Amino acid sequence: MKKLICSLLTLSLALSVLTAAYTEEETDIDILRAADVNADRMINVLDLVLVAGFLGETPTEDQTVNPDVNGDGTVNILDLVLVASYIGETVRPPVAFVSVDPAVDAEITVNDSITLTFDNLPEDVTVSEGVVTITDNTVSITGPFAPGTLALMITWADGSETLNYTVRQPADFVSAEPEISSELIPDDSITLMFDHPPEDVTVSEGVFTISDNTVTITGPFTPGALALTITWADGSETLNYTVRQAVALETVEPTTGTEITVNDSIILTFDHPPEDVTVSEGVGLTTDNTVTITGPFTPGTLALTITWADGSETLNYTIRQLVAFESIDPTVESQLNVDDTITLTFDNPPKDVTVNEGDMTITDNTVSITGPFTPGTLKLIVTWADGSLEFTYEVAEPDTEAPSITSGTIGDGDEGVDSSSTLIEIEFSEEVNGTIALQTEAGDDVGWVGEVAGNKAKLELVKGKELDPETTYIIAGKVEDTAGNETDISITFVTASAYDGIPIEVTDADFDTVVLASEVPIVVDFYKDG
Amino acid sequence: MKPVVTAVALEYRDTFTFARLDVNTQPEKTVAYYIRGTPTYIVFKDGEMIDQFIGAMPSTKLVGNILGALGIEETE
Repeated sequence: MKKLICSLLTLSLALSVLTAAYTEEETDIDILRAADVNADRMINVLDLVLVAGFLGETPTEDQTVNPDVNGDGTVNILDLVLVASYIGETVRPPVAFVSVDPAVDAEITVNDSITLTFDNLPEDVTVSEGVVTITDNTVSITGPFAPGTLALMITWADGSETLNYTVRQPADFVSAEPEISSELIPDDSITLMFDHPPEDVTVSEGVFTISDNTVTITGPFTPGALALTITWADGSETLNYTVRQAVALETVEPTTGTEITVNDSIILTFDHPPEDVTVSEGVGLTTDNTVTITGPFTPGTLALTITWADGSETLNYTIRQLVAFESIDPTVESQLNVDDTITLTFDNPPKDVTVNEGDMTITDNTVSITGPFTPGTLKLIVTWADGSLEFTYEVAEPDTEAPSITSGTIGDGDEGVDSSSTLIEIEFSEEVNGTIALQTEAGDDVGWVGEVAGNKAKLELVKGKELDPETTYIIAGKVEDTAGNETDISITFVTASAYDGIPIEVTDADFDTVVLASEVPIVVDFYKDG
Repeated sequence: MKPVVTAVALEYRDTFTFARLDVNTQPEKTVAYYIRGTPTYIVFKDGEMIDQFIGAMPSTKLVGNILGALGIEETE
């Protein structure tokens, strides 16, 4: 063995001399590693021994050491020469990939950089995409990368690595709504538009939601100056706003759901002066915290929508026509009886009617007020939903007096009544209603036609029912005045003899009209009385 | 004469009318018709005096004179 080793050392020395020039030229790491047959990072006699031990052999694939240093398929003197030429050389270890940032499978943007760290300075670095910068153990690969899936292959002298990423476009802020520096209310939302969907969004105030390229930041924001900072994966932006108090509706008068008239006003009170007020019907007038909406409104159902800068409200009402007084009967200033009825007529059915005296009934457009009224001057006050009026009357003392007969063509107890009479009339002290009839003394109806109207009663002859001479008749009946006071009628009379009035007596005064104007022949007896 | 006049007036009231004028109290017509004695009966028709009779007489004669003046034939 000593002899062999001595021979190899001698050979090695000789080969080292022979191959000195060659060794200096060929320092390729791959050759050095091949020459380091026992892989102890040093090329020495042990490597020569290994090659020598396999001289003439063809190495198999499962050999743990490979003495075919030049890779020509046979272990021969050439392999010995190659090892000998590097005797004394050390073989550096292979450069290994240590880490990468961002981590594999992460999402990066097109212009991001990927930094790979090796345990030593890598050599012969190439990448499938991007631009490589090598600093010591670090390799930086800078985009732009194509958006989408990136399988970045990096190859260096000692190996290769494929790094997978998802490449996205960076998001740039485009605009904000409401515009920056404008005024907000606490519950407003701010919408930010980006050119691409932003990632890793945070905001300094409010709550945000992301939808595609849009970030919506919702309050409540604190009233005052708002410096809203939004940060996302690709940048940050500070948006300045002024947050004012939101204006809220406090009260509505009249309350929603009630009935109002066409010209009524609706008053809304807010906690702060509202802005940009619009109303769906009527005219709105804003004064400080109050909005007054005035008609005319259309009769029927009203859904009135009020919109202001911070909200809206819909108020429901029933609109009715205004009711106007039209007439009164009897006319004012006239005289009434205590139990009379006063009738007022309106253009529409009145509502909420009250009167200060009498009993009231309402029928459609008519209000009837019935006594008893107090005798004397009556100041009747009628109030309804849309107005009030006062009417003056003079109320007479109650009528307790029964109607009486004031005159007539026949009076009670008359005798010698012309039996040829065809009409009997009786007058009363006031207007009456009732019945009247001509009766025999026995109480039988003679058959004349009786009528009571106004302040008169009359009896008219029916042909064939003439009065008999020298006969007692009774005019019987009952009448009552408007106050209900009744009077019984009983007038007894006796008709004249058949001879009464025949012949007729004439005078100088009526001679011409009685005698000369007579349509029938007439005989005048010029006589001397006594 | 009143009962006679009354009886005639009542009986013939559908044919003619009988009137009486007191000459003591009604002088105007008494003078106007030249009344010289009583009773005097003057028959008027259509406003015109057509006949007159003077002196008391039975009812039949009185009726006959009157109907004769009127041109009416007596039925009885």
